[in-house]
Amino acid sequence: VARLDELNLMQRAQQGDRPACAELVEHYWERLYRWLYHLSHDRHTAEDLTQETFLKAFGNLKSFKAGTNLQAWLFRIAHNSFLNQRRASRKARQTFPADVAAAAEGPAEEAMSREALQLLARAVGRLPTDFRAAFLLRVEENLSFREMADVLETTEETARWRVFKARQKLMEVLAPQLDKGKS
Amino acid sequence: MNCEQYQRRLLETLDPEDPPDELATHLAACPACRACQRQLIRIERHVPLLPIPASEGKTRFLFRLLNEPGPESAPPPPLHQRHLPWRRLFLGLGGVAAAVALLVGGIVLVGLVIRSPDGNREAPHAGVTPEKPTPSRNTPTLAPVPESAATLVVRLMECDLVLAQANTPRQRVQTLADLADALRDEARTLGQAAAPEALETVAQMYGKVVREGIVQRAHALPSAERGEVLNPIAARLAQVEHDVEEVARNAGPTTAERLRRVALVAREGDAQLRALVRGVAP
Repeated sequence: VARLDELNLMQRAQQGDRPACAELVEHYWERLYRWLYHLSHDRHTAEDLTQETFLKAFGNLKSFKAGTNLQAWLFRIAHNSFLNQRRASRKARQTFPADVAAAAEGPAEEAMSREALQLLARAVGRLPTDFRAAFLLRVEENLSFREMADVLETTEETARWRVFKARQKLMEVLAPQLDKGKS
Repeated sequence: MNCEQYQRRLLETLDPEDPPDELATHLAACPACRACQRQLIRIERHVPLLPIPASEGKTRFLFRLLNEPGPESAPPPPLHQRHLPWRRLFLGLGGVAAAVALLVGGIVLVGLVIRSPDGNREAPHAGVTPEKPTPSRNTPTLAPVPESAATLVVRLMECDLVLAQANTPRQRVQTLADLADALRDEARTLGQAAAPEALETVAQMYGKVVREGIVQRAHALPSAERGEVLNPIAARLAQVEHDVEEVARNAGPTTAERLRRVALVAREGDAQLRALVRGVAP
């Protein structure tokens, strides 16, 4: 049903139906923004890139073919926008997201200590961008390696390798902390 | 294979919660590797819960999408949609003046859907094996929107479609009451998400819809229909105070003040509708 809904929405959007486009924005804005925020570490950049993603998508609706994975299509556009932006700004160095330290307390802290959660945010933020992009597509968007490869325009094996490396690094940093939290 | 190799395989597995058979067999027999699996699962379940700054751009983007001409490359909207839905809603509230006032004032109707990025996510249970995140969040396909999670913009669209086809005062008043319900729900959501700026917009819209929409249109109802149409709506308005007070009690002072403003509007609306039913002009 979900696939049919998605197809139906895209068909309406392709016919210029603005409310259908608005529904797509409703469904995907936060998800794209979240991913782009994790990649860029900058709220305004993430906002701009999210908007750019939708503008590009709506400007290229005719190129979207039935059977295409809409989620992967949108995230691929977002990734290309991110890469272009990064090239343009030449911000090769990663900066730590300042907002994480000041994040509001939420239910997550109940399950993982505040210290561990902050460590997790820090560790994710310090992953190399390629690893982080693939890893987040896996854990937040539940994409397969094939779909990740599609988004990141790489091979399935490379996508798998990036997720592996991201997990390996996170485990190195976080496992001792999680063990400490349990004892 | 030794444990190191199994753990490497675990890290390469698409879903550590659903490892391939051979790995699963080893995990069942090896406490050390199972502990490693639990840690990995715990990490991955918490990543989607990491807080990030809320996005505010969606509001502006949706407004532009629905109100401005599209880019050259985008197909033009069908003719029937050039009459913008939001305009019809505003017109339903009592005329062009309301639309102009709202638009000039920067109140973006479709932008009333600002939500915390984590607002719809469930927290995992404490412990090493929290509940799996809801599939609607992570599913690779576009999930249908359940009623409980229907966004305001979708509900507004539905109201707008009905308003556009409404031929009688009864239909208009009932649709505006539905719109007020949608705004009330959004006010509660925003109150829980501690988003006072967006809540201010919703509170203003709620006031417009009740005072300039429902109450004014109610005057056009034939006397014989007033009780049947207005009593249920008054009852819904009377319930609002109870609904929002619960949220207001746990909210900060600014959020609570705005929620109570919504309650006040509802209380006044309730009184005015009941007065109309009794034949007393409010």
